[in-house]
Amino acid sequence: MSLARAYHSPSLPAEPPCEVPPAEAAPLWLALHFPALALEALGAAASEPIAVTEAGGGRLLVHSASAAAEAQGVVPGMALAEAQALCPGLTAVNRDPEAERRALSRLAERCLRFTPWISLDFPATLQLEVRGSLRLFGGPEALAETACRAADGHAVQCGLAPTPAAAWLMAQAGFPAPVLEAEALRSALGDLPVAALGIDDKLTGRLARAGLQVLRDLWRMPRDGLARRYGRDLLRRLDEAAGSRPQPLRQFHAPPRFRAERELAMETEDLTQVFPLVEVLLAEFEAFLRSRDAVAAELELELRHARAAPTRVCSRPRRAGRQAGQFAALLRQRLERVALPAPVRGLLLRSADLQPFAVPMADLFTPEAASGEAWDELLDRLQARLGPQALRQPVLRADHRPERAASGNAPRSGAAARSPRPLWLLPRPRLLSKRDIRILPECERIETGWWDGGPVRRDYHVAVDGAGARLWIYRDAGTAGPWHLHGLFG
Amino acid sequence: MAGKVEALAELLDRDPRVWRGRRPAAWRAPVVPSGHAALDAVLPGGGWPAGALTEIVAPSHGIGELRLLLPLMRRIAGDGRRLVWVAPPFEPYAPALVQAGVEIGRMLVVAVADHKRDLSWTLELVLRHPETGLVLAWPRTLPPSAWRRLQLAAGEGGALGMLFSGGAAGGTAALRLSLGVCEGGLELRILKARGGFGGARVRLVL
Repeated sequence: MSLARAYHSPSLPAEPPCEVPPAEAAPLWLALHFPALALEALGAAASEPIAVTEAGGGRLLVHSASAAAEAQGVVPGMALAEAQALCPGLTAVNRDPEAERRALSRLAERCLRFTPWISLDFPATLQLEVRGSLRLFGGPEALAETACRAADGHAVQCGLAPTPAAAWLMAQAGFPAPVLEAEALRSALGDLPVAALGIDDKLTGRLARAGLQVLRDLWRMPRDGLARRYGRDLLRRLDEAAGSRPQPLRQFHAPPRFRAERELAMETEDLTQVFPLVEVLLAEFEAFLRSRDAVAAELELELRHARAAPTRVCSRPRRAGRQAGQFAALLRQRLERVALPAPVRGLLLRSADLQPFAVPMADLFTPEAASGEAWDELLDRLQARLGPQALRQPVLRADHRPERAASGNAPRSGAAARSPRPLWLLPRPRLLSKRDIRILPECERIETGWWDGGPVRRDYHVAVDGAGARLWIYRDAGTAGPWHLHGLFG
Repeated sequence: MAGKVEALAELLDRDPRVWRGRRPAAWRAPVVPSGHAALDAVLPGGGWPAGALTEIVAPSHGIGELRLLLPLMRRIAGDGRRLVWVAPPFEPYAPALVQAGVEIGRMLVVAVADHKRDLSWTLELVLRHPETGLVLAWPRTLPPSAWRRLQLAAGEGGALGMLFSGGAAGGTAALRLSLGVCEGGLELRILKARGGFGGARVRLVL
């Protein structure tokens, strides 16, 4: 043990215990707490009775409820069955932590104009370190007010205190008055109930039985006794709130985006002069992506005109990539069919959907299996030139109506019919005008679809026409109506 | 000396551009069996030419031109290669293809609205792709220069290109055949075959 210690050179500074914001003055934290984030992230309307549920203790519990539901007595923490008994029209929605995280990062991006140091470590809360921004925004109250306005569309409560834990406690409790000095924290927080520390109900009950109701009671107790009876965790939370123990937080970084623009030397309508500049921007984009080890899933090129709305060309390859040449080929195809309303004055290239680069996995035994990438690239090129509707894949659907058995985008397993089917199907049946056909006697009746507004009741026959082609024809069952041509046996 | 003669003979056999009289047995260009024994017997090499274009002159649609190719489609799809329909006159009908035993999972249908501008570009792109196994296309007309470009593209990618045409302008395909209707099937007439003679007639019952 002593040997191991000897290897640590005493001249090395100790590792910093946590990442603290580089501020000369003591930090000041603005906590923006969003109490209804779970509801807002799901896009729920407040006028509907909606409850967001969460599994807890083997049952579904209400995590938060909309105003309409709360008016009928639904409160967070209630079992879902109880809530539904109170409010019969209640819609229960599962909590979506991913959507909440996305909503919170969007809010954090909006708040980056107040400070570069933002943390998302507290639940449904943004922690902003704002000591350096106070003067710019006109003091603590004005700053808090501006920040709350920036979170437009979300219910927000704010708290301002020298420690993140205290700011969070104040935001949750809804204390509007800011506390700027660490010395004033204990008296400001003293009246908060102990449950606000985020400890579990059991411990809260034990503290209450000992007569410890509010934080001030805890601060009056001897520290070693508190730690022995109720655990070190309680002491840690108390110290973090009062600022006698630093609390490390992770810093939020805005997701990377690419944006580059160029002005043309002179206005031009000739796209061949514009394209070299696009390639320069794309080369910049590729360098940007490579330095971050990222790939782009979409890319937008904006052509700016002097007196017209900009022309936008958006490219979404099937597979996210980072090759400038690949993007250039796609953009070129799209640009060739764009009608310019006015001469081009400038270019803007941007991409917001960047994803981490993943090395494609090759299959050891069937090397061809991993080659779908080149095929996707081919499909992208075809689609860029021929239009979005040009590519189709034959699929089977479980429907007896011939025109529906092969249409639609959703492939479903469907058994092939037993009776003969033509290899060619006409997009829509057409009236048979030929007279010199020989109709074979075998008949197949297809009668279905009365339930979904497309009823079909037809007798299908195979016929041979004068030129030798085998036709698939039908007429409405039980009538002597006209024959319709529906397919050819290729 | 004997070794040199053998090497020369092998070279001559290998190169399809050298014509050496009626010696179909020595033909070694890559082919894919057509699945019809009677047809394989008259095709040079014993099958459809791979990595080349085949022009099929059909008087009308629906006489059996697709049934003729069904064994080929089954083989290509079974090998896991792509099957592409370019500008088909009607919809290829999935239930019928499944009924015929053709795997439709790796099939692609490309509709081309503007034939004049986009058709040969599309065909060249698809034929050149290494994953493509078979391209079925219905060009109304193609200029001779496009035929040559497509021929090169098919040779590069190793795909079979089956082009259905009206037969007005003779393309530079490796194989040209015309279809006619006969009792119970198709009558094929080979108009031109690289590495063999034209003029053969075959009757197939499909």
